[in-house]
Amino acid sequence: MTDHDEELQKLLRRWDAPPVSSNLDARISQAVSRAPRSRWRSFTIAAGVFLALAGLAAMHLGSRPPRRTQVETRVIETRVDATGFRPVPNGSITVVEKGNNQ
Amino acid sequence: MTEAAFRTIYSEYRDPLFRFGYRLTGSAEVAEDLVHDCFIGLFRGGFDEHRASLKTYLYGAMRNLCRKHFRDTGREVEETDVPVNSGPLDAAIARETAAAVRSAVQSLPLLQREALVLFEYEELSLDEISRIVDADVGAVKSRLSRARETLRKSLAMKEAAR
Repeated sequence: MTDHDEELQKLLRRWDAPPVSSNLDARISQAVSRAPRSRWRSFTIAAGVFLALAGLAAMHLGSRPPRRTQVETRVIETRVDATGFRPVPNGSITVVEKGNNQ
Repeated sequence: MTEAAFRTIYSEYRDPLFRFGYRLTGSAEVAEDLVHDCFIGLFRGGFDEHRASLKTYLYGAMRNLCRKHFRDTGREVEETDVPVNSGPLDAAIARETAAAVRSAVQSLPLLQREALVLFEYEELSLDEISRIVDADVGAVKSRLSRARETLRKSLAMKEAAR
């Protein structure tokens, strides 16, 4: 600085700042101990937890055996009541026209 | 930022930031409030070390808080009286001188005052000050020069008036 002035500097130093009160330290400590985490920090923690849970879920799904497709296993039973049935001896097939019931 | 890292920064910068705030506002009480807000802002928001050094960031944040305080209150200096005429003669003279300096510094326009306080009291470099006040080095030099000139005159007048 070209206009450096020692005399002025000495005079300026006569004005001291008072000491910081201990109250400030207490206020800072109190605020820090109950301050919420920063948004970015909270977001990264939340994102980490989400990714970990998603990973676990993916691992769990990947390790399970594939689900078997349900196959229709019902048995269809045909019942015929053939009580009193007697086969016709020497039976023959006769073709009859529609509406001509003989 | 971890709490331990925060506490290290706090113990290093508490006093310089308080002195800076005190000399800008003229009030220890206001300066303490602003230092509190400055550090809580740092703790909650952190700071981007790629954009500024911690020192420059903190002084810049403190400067912004002081300016906000001035905007909110509508005045640039707190009106707190310093007792000057009590006690033994030497002590009284010392207090009177301190009060005269304080009054002269606080009469400076804000831009000159902050440049002077950062350079003369906090012993920051012109480069650091230019980053804190967001002005080029030439502008800071000019503000300092005008501040010194004003102080020489006002303190000489006060000396002559005694």
